[in-house]
Amino acid sequence: MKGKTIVVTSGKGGVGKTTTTANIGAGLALRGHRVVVIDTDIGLRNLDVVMGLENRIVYDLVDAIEGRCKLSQAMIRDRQLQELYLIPAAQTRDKNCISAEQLTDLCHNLEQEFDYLIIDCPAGIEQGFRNAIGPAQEAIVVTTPEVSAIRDADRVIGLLEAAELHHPRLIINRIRPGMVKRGDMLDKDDIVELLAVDILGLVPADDRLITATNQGVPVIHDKKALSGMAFARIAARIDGDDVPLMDLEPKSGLMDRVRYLMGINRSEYTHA
Amino acid sequence: MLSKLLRSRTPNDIRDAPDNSRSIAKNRLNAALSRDRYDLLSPGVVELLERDVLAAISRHLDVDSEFHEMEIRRLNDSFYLVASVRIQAMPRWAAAS
Repeated sequence: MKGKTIVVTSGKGGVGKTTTTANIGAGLALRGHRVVVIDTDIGLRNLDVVMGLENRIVYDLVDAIEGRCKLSQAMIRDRQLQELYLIPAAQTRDKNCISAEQLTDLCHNLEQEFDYLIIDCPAGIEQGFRNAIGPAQEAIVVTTPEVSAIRDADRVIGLLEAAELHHPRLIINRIRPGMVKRGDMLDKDDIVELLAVDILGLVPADDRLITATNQGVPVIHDKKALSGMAFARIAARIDGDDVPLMDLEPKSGLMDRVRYLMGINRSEYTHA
Repeated sequence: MLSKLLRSRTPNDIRDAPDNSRSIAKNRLNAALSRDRYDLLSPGVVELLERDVLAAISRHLDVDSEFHEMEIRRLNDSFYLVASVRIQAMPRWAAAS
């Protein structure tokens, strides 16, 4: 068995890389795959809290790389999913304490036993970014529909291409369909035109994602959450399924138009 | 009265209006990305382009392989491919009448 390593990156911080990594990891594990998610944000680790595993950390990525523990000892099993593991970042070190080669070697070993390795990349385009993209065969770029995030995404796509990670796929996070409809937010077609990349998925802004993350549970486990459904579709697409993009158009019946004209913003979605 | 109000602007008109914040964001980003990409343009890419363009021109014109210049230049918010290629001998088809 030879697994696939995918890096989740963005350039800009705070656009949802870590949440995306956790949900894609859980989504692929829910589909029956053996998955490891790896936090490479050394010094600023967060994937552990997002997944609710922060109290179980004994060893971390740097311990494994520097030989203070066996690789298996740095892997923490998920609370819900038997086939999902986390390798946490070190919190008291920095990005320069490991090299891209070391991380690539570690991932090569894991690829023998797992179907998917999902790497959570730190923000920025410095050493931490270089380390994170080193082992990857595929790249996912996360952005939000904001000018700063899109500009940084463009820069990162250029760097990925230069590193021969061709055809990175884009996730647009925190879309607000009501604002798109009002002409106050860039829509997916605008962003695709600007960045000239393929779309992997659209994720709506969703309060349920915040409450799920507060509890350390990836939102994909919340069956009522639209963002969770969006991540399930993204996982399916990564897995090779041809699933249509989520339809995030707000419902547009007569009453919705009346509400709209009256300035009442209801974020209702339709989805297949 | 209500139906007239509802028909006045369709959702697409609102979404695509040139003065809304989405259109402003798109235009600003388009310009910013072009500038960023221009600033990051590598000499190797321009060399490759020059070689390919020169090869294409050579299929139609007898050009001086020594005398040519090519660059991508920025003027205000537009970008131009500026090329200067010396033609060795003017072909007959170019003569007027």
